[in-house]
Amino acid sequence: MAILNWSRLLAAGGALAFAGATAFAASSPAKKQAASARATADKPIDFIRDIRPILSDNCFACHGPDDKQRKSKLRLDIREEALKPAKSGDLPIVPGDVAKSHLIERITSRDPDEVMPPPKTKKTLTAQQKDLLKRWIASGADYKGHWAFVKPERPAVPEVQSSKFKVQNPIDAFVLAPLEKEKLKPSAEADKVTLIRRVTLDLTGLPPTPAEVDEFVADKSADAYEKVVSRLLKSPRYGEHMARYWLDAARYADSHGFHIDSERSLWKYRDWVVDAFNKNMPYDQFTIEQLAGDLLPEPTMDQKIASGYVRCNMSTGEGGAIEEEYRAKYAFDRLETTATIWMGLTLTCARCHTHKYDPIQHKEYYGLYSFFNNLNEPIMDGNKPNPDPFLRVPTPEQTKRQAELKKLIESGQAKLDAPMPELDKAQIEWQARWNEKLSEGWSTLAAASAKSTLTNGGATLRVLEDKTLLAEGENPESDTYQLKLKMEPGSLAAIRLETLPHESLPKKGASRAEDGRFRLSEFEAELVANVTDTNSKPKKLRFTQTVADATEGGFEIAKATDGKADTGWGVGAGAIGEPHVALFALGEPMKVTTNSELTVTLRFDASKSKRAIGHFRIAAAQNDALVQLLNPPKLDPWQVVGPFKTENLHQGFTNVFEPEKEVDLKKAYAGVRDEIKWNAKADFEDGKANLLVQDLHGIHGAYFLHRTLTVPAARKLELAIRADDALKLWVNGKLVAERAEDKPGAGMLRATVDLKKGENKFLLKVVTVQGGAYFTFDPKLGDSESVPADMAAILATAKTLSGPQQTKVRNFYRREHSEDFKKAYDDVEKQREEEAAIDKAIPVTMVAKEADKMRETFMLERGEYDKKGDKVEPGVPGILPPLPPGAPTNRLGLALWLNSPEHPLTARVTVNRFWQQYFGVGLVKTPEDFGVQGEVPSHPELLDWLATEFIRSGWDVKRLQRLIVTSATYRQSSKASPELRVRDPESRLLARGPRFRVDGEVLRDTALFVGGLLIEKRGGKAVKPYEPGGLWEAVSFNNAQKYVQDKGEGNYRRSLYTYWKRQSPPPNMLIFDAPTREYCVVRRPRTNTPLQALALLNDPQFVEASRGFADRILREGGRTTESRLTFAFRQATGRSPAADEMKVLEDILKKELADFRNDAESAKKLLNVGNFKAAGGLDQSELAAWTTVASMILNLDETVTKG
Amino acid sequence: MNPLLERQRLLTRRHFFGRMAAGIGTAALGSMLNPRLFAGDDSGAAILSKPHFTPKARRIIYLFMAGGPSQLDLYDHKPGMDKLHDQDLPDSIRMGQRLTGMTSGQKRFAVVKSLFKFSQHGKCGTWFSELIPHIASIADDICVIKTVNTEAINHDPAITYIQTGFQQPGRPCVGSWLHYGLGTENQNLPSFIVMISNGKESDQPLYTRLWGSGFLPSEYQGVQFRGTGDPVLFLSNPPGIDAQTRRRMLDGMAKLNRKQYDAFADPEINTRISQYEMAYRMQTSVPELTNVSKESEATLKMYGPDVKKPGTFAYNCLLARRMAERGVRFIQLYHRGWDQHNTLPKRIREQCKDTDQPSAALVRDLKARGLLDDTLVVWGGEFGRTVYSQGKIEKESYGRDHHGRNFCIWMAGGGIKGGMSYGETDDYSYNVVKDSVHIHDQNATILHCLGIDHEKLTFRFQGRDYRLTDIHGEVVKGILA
Repeated sequence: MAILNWSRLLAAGGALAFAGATAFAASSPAKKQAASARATADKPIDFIRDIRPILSDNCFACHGPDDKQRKSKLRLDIREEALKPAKSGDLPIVPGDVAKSHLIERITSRDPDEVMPPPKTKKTLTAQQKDLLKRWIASGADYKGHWAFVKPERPAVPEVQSSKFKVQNPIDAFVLAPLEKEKLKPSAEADKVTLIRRVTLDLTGLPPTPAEVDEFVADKSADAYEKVVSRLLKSPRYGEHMARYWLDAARYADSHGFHIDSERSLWKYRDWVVDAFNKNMPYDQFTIEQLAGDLLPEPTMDQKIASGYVRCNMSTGEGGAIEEEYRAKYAFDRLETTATIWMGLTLTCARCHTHKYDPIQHKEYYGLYSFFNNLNEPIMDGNKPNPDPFLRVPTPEQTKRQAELKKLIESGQAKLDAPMPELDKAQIEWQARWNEKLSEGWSTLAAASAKSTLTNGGATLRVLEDKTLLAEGENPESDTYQLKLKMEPGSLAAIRLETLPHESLPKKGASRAEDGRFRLSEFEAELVANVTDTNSKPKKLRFTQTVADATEGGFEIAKATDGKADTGWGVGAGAIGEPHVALFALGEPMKVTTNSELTVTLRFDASKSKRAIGHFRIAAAQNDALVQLLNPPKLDPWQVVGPFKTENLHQGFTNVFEPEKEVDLKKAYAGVRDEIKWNAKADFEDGKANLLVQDLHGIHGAYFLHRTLTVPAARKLELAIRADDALKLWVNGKLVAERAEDKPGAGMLRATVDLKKGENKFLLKVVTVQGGAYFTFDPKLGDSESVPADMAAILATAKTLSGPQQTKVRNFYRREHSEDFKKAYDDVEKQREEEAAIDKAIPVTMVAKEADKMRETFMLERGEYDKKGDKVEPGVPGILPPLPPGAPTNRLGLALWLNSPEHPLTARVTVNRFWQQYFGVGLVKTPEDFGVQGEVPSHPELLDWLATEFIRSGWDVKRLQRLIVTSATYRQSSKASPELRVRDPESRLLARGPRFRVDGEVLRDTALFVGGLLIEKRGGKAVKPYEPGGLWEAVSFNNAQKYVQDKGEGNYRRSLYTYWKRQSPPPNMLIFDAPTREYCVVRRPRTNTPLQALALLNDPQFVEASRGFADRILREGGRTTESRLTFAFRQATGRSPAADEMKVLEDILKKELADFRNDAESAKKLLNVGNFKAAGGLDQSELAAWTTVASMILNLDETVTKG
Repeated sequence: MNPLLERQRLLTRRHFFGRMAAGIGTAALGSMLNPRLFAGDDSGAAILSKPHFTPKARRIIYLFMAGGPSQLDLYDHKPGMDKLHDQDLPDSIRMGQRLTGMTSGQKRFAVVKSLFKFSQHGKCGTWFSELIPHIASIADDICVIKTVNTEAINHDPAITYIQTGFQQPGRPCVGSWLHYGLGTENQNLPSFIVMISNGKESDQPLYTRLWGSGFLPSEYQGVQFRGTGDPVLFLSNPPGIDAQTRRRMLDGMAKLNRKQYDAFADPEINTRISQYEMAYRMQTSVPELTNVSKESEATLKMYGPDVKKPGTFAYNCLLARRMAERGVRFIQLYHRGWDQHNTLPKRIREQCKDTDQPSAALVRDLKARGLLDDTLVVWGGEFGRTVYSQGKIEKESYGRDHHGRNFCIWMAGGGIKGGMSYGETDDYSYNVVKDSVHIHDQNATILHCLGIDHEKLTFRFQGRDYRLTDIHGEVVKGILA
């Protein structure tokens, strides 16, 4: 459905009928306003044009809509009020009688206490203004409502004399009529080359190719131009170009804006805007989805994404910020931005008090504010890219792959879970053997003391003959046992807790509770290395493995070491009456001396229901063999040093660096930038991808990683390894694996290495460049003589296993013994990794979401968040039509209201902004202000005709663009006589075609385009092209944020996709008047400065583009200088150069060529700017000389101007 | 010459600037600026044809101490603090003032006295802490204002407020207002330059908006000089392009552009030609500006040991003086690291080590060259710090939270009475007792020194005449020379 039937959303009636005009806007619409901004004596007085600006500027602040500020009870913005006596009794205005009108007396008084405006306001009326006011009163003091608040009526198209100016559509008639009155002639149609360049730049943001120009020039059909327009409107570049203007207004950016200004993820919204323009989404739908996509019935993913508009405002995460203050700021900004974009209203004034000029009450402001005061969002953004609420938006490819993986994993897992009878049988035997091996050698620890820590009411612990402990006596709700245990000197690898049934306990179980269940909430242990040494502090034991032979759902053994009193280990009802084992294994064996003391604490807090263990025993793994089995040899953490400087990957790979000769962990080396030293990296994990370096910023570097492994006997070790981008691995000085360059998909490099008894040294070299560099090192330490520590812990607890433990052991065993299983298992693991990686990579985008319960809105006195006034209900200003009947009082209702054909502003404001895009100045010069203080339209009837036509067409945006660009008005030549330029410097009368410098984005995109470098990939995350270094660091918190330029295509995308950081926007855009995107901007300034010259001449982005351009000129521009210059000139300006222009360029080319021939070094330097590498085979001096000429052409006024 | 064409040239501000930039019209710009020439016909009455009254200062060097320097440890001497130390701040003093989220949860608000000794300096006898002996040594040249105040209590809104007159982004900064109001005084350098120095700490961010032009045309935005690379972005010719080639390119382009002008009579074209010429001149004048090799040893020594390291505050102070000599209108330095919520004594020592000597040297150097009379120097941050400690008071350490109700800045030079202090705070340095100087007043006074009535320098935007001081601000007459 292309156009949604929005009225169905309305609960009742369905019609969007509005109440009639309001009091303020009671008089006729602004039909007869003349185009000229100047009032002259021979013209009749026009209230709107001549009088209200004077009153508004000078009087309304005290005598206008704001009743709080009103002085002397005098109100001048409404006629009937102005005719009433003021407080003094004087009549301010007596229509037709200047002498009796006190207003005139006051404005002409010389008495500083009398004269109006009062001197302290620093405002004075000119003689001309005073005269106008007199003449106005003399002629009857006629008032008119403000034109913009009256619904536009479709005006009749004026009759005009036909002329050489061929009226193409009604636009032209509206333009021609006042020109005829002004006795001015419109300009002739621009030549075809100019025309196609103008319209191509305007609709796509890029210039036409010479082929496109040729085709158009050759097309003699009557609708040749219309055909071009149709082609351009269909181009996907159209949406990108139109979106750019919209994103200025919506203040879209890739960072949060306030304080830390960290990255935000909202680019899906940016892409949505591009798509909406390309799909020609009707403007009313475009409005509704952005303001309230989330509130539509069963919103689609796209509609939710569109609601990102509501989240485009800046947000903060500043430490000391007060939430309520920012909640108000966000709502202010959302409201005022929306008011500017859709209504051209400047609401900011009414934040603090009733608007001084426009009839918007202070209270009405908060009626609108309440629409934006109900978002369900955290006020502090937490400096996260996706502060709530946000949406995960997988790409079609991601969704597809996710589904595929789900299936693969399911079927793969089923295969893994299928019985393998022979292996399974062997496994049971193997398991039993290991259990036996691991059950031997445990030392049962005798308690030197054992007691409850409760001072009274705790259990009494009795040591039985078999060194078990039995709890007797009191059984409180919660209890804590503390045991001091004697140990043998040597080492300690694990502690084992056995719970044992006892005759004396309920149900003959191991628990003191009536039902026989126990809950061990925490198991803790401390070791004092030497009790005789006062400096020997107790050291808490850190258990890396906890395993139990049985468990009850929800009471896993891990909960006995999670530090939480309300969770714990327990076994199920069926297991009461049996002994159970829990094992607590250490990551590293600890040293135990004769003077060591172990304290074990058992806490029973979990349910506060007398569920302490009643009979138990503690043993320790101290026996050498057992310690070895439970704690097989492990590699030490990596030591890392780097980056060492190298020119490229190959050199880094082949060069012999100092650590390759000798590893000396104390030594410092010269690095790429600074001195570098060895650093321990305990967080690098075996088998995982470890980040070696985030980014080298375009520099190549070599890193060395060193570690040792001590083994009790010589053995073999299997390992797998990979790295970005090249690697070498030495073991004990012998090269065992190498890969000169990492190829995607090449997978792990595998090797089997010989280890000697004792210490073995590993040295890994990784050579890398730019971007995150990762490496994976996966040693297989297990073999027939040992199993990994986690496996050993499981096997030590029981002969038969169940649940996840059983699966874990089974997988381990099968992997060791079946190649098929191993492959299937590794495949599933890989698929799971991929699934996780996709999950992580799914784009997120911030969206709007309404809070469940409407937040109350109060007026804020002086706009201060902590000065609440009266409660306010959602509503719209009385000067404008009411909400459509049945419209909900939320953002959706607001959007429907804005799009109602009764709304006087939305269509006018929108067509005016589009007009401004094409002509440089809007029909209303102040697109941000259609209020009383805004400029009156130059062509009021044209504005109203366009607005009504826009609504009539079903808010058809492309149709409106077509209407404008196919008008004869648009097609006029921009050449102007000096007389006309003097008379109408800004072309407000439209007697000539538009001519102005294009925006920064168009300049850059054009340079990339003609330079053959533009990569037209659409959408996606923002990219980071060339930017001078240090700009982010200079302003960011602790200099922590760095701009990291993209490799490759990120440098050559359209500027729409450039990363926009509000704290430090792209400099080559700011220089060309781009806004910071901190707040809504609907009109960019257009300046002409030396910094712009420097950027276009020297910014590497433009230098490189010139080089690309030169490369194209030489390859595609024919063989003669003439043909090449023509080619170049046409690429940039559309036209062929004239002979004298050719001569200028040719002269310079010759001189440059001679110079570069004499100075090959300079040529080389110039050709080295940027990443782009020419294909080769061209004469370097020639290429350099042409690069300077290409740069000149890109810098020409004609190139940077839409003419 | 075609008289119509000539008239049109005169009427067009673009061209007007073009001429200025090309060095043709070199008379004092202030008196030549015609409001109607400035921004087409829309900005109307705002722009100045000449200053509102005779200016005392022609330019400003603003040493912005970002983060909020502690007035209690630098300028606001409170001898009674020994007695109040570690006592709770009385409610009668705090009066329920709002606190930042960083201390609002604190159980007590214990007053902490400064660890640093204060003494009187100069003929005027102004008090300074021992942390800033160099600034103390120019006591007779500066005016310390003790009662500057702001409503903002966090960095982002506070720094935006003091620099643009509004807590939310969108308004022009003080430098842009001046540039807009008074235009430029030199032909070869930007009129409004910003430099950010690196100190030991840089723990609060800055924002491009702080030197942004807001709703004013973007040519009034500050030009950020960088500590490394080209001081002005894209200043240097690309490698392999020498001055001769560049000259050739510009001449060729000018020829082609002039031809374009003949066809279109668009004054923007001539402006463009002139802007390229000015860019060319900047390529020489900026390196000349940043080349400090000819500065005397005595001068360098005055600024302290860091002066030779680009990017330090000392180096930037020296550059600021060189810019002042060359007619740059507004020179804004930022030095960060004053946000001392904890370990204040240690950190403020380091900050002062970086900033004290160069700040004083700058004033002294300007004075020695006769430049101080028409240069206004301002030293200060976005707010001050609380009298109560953030976190625990330790023997040698404490922290202070943000405090906007009173803080200290100083001004010196053009238009300012030296050798005085202004305003009084209560015994706790928590409230203003006498002569409040709101940040709008501070900005009104800055404009006043430059000959501008802050109420009259306005720009029509969104239907309203905006000004730097919003609808507030009184010139602080008591500190004017």
